Amino acid sequence: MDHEATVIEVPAQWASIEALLNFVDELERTLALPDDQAYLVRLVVEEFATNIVKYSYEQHKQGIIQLSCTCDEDELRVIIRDHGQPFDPNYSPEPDLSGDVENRSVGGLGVFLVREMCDVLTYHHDRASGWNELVVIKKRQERTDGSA
Amino acid sequence: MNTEQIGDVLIITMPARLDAIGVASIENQLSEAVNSHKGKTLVDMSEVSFVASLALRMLLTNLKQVQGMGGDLRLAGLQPQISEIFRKSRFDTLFKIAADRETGLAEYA
Repeated sequence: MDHEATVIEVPAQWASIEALLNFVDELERTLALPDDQAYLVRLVVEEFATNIVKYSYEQHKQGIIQLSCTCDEDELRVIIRDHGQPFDPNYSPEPDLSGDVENRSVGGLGVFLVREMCDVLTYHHDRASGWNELVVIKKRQERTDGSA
Repeated sequence: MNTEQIGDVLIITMPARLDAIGVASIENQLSEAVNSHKGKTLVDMSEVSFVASLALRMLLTNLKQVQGMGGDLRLAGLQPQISEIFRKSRFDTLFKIAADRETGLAEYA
């Protein structure tokens, strides 16, 4: 398959999350994504787009979220862009995974899950333009059974 | 979300997508069912193909509540990708997880 890219831009508001998730369903079909890759795109939307809606833009500011996805024979690349508050997930604290039912904390779990499920996670804030760009990459799984 | 009672066990069947939309559509209903039953609860996850941190948080909140009332909330039928999320987040150490609904029911007996 050749390089295929698809992009959607939505207002940074709660109602857009459904549009983004529907868009991922569409991507899964059009790009014929394997299950693990489709799961990752959904997870990125779920954990990062919802954060952008909640925290990134001040209430009076009309923000947008761009989601794009490219896919070739080597890797899947998911990019989320916004121009709200910078948030570098690489500096978000590691979650505390210990603790019993009573004491288990759940902070930071979203970023942790995305990082666990992908191969590369990079973030860039462009000071000049104000754009934040989060790039998540997942390599295609090598076949180990010898078939093509 | 579907609920049914078999003996003293409340069985709750989760919808396929426990994403932000899925969680928002069931969280009140789930909490009501768990809090009014107060006892043995088995959450059938066999149809669930997606969970993220929001769904984990919802399940943990309900587990805490029902344990506080002397009951329990166990899970059954996790698909492989869902199992992986539970393993990575170590949520598999918080819940008793059965391979399927029948096993979960038998373990409650």
